[in-house]
Amino acid sequence: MTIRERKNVYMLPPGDTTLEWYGKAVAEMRSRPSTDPTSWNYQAAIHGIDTANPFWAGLGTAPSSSQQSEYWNQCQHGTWYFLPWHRMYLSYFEQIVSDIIVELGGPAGWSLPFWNYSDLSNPDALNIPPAFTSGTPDTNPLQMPPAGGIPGRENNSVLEQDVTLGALTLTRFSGAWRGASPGFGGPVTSFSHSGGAHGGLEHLPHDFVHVDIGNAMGDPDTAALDPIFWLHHANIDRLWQVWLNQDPSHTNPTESNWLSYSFDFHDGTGKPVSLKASDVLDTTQVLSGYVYQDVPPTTTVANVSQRVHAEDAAPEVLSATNAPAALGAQAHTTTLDFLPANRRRASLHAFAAAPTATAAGSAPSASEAYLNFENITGTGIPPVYDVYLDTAGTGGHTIANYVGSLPFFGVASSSRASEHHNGSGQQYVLDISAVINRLRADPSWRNDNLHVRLQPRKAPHAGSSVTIGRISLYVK
Amino acid sequence: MRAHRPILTTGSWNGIPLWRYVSMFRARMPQWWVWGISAFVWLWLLTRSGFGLFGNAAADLGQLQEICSASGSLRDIGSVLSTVFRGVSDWGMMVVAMMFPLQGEAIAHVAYSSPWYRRQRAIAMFLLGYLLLWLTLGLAIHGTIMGAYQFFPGQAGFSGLLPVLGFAIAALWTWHPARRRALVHCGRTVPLRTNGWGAELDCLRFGLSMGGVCLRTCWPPMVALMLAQHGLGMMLIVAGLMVYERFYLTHKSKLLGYAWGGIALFLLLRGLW
Repeated sequence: MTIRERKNVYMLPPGDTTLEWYGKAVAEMRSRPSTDPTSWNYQAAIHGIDTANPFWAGLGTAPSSSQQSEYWNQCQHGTWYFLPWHRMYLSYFEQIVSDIIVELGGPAGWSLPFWNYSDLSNPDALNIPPAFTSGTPDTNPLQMPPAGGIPGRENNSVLEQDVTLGALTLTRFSGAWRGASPGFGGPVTSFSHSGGAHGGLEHLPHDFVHVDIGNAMGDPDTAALDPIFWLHHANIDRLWQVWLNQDPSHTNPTESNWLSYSFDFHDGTGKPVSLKASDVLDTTQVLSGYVYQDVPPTTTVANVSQRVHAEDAAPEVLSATNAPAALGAQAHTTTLDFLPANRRRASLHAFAAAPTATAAGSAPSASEAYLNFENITGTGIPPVYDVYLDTAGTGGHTIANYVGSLPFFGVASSSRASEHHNGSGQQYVLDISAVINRLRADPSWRNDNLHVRLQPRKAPHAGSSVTIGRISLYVK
Repeated sequence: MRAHRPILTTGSWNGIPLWRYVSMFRARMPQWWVWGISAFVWLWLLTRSGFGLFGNAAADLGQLQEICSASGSLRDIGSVLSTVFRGVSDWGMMVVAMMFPLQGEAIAHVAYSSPWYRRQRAIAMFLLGYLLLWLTLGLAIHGTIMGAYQFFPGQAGFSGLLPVLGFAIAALWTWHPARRRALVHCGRTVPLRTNGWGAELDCLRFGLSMGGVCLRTCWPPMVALMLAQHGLGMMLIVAGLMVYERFYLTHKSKLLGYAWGGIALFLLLRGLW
């Protein structure tokens, strides 16, 4: 069988029928009962399901509770399994859609296109492809139907600042230290339906595309009901390959507990199957194999050690809040006081002593600094909050002091304790080194005057809330 | 500024002073001493057993039964307390040896959430809370056994069946949704305060909470092991399987259920023949 090529949805040639057949397959899958593993509802529920959510009102008869327990609510977030799990999920989905297209009389070898929203050469890149927004949900199966008075999508486009690809510059797949960057692919965890710190690619652009589109896409328990979900994740999967191709030092984990961890799915015939991460490292070997348009596959699996070198220093917590912060419609400002005894620690002393060094005429040494937002819990789909550092205490928020944003994708499901979640909430880590080093060089820098300001981009929806368990600053 | 003091002032590897490796190891593994304690307890158990791997399941329970049920009353309270103390301390040792290594993720959370100057204290407070809960369970089980022998004297022959029953329950527990739920909760974290009494309290409370999660996950095989008189070979097998499950299997895996069932069958057949 020939290897499929997953194409850029905006570069499909005129007369191409990829999306037309995708629409027909979606309509067919939606007509199948939720007990059928090849149905639209069943496939979406593998990612996540919340029967109380209006988007799941059409669930109908569900499979047995033991089958639900085995196959539903399995998506991996905040973990180093984020990328391999979604690759497996997409591959079986692609197989199911492809088989259905053949059943419907279409061509064999259908492949899932990807939506490259970060393509600056395409003026339409930020918009959901027109095939997914034209017509009405009744006439176009690629639309996301409304439910309970809520439109299927809140927006038909994403923001340019939310699809930047800074994650591709990260050198490690998994972060070496807690408190510092969780790496490109996410932190080392066990099964994590949601929870740990979101890896670089997962945080940006993955989470932001979800919450920018919003409504069904804004919640992992409903996201896969939207046909655009699959093109978004094909792009994330493509970016994994782009990252690997970018530099020989960019390698996948070689730890056996990553390679041999297996996950359960259903294949094109609905039969239960399982795959391990080691089965999906080379895209040409995943099921019938695939490549991405203009992205060469990795044919050999590099075995470069990502062990921490002796020169690497561990980050230390320099400051942390002692009470949870509940965010609302107004900006929230927290002061980060440095722990006094921490200043005796050599690495932390070097950070805290910066103003003295500056006064003596020498520039303060550059430090790595990470702002951690830990145990974030909440309900509904909260707005994105932009994060600023401020030393003046004036509450001002300028773009120069902007250090990142918090999308809170999946915060509600990560807050619920169940057989799939531990209920600890989510975690985000922002690398604030550049901004804080600039602030430290300023003569007005004081160790007891660092403020973190969280500014909502819009008013929260009714029923949404978010609380950050701890905000901490780690430096090295 | 106070510089790092090299622990090993001489020697290097790959051009990097050895003390840098030691320093990195301590930074990466702040829980190294917890592993050390676990290793020491394993060693101590090994030497105490005279390097014999399988204990006599009925021996100690028989002793307890003898003390408790002589003439149908608690005649020698000193002996009873001493036996209970020994039983609970053995139970505690087993928890330290087998359960502490499974707490790596939680201990790392406590360690890295705490400032460097109170990191080890934070770990100790966590372990204290964790152990307190397990010791309470150990005491309750020993009390129950004593009570059982008090009210049903002359049932020593039944003692050999208890480990079989214990592992059979452990096998069934693997299929229970509550166990799967508890296993997922083994990876939970909580926000910890960094200074003051609040920080100590948070660590202690987190230890108690994780002890509770661990109890819900692992109580049946641990109780079965206690009923099997902490046989070292059995402990090693059970500990190995639990570590394997924690790090290599999904929470949906039934492998341990089959393993506990196999052990129950093995003990039953060994008892019969």
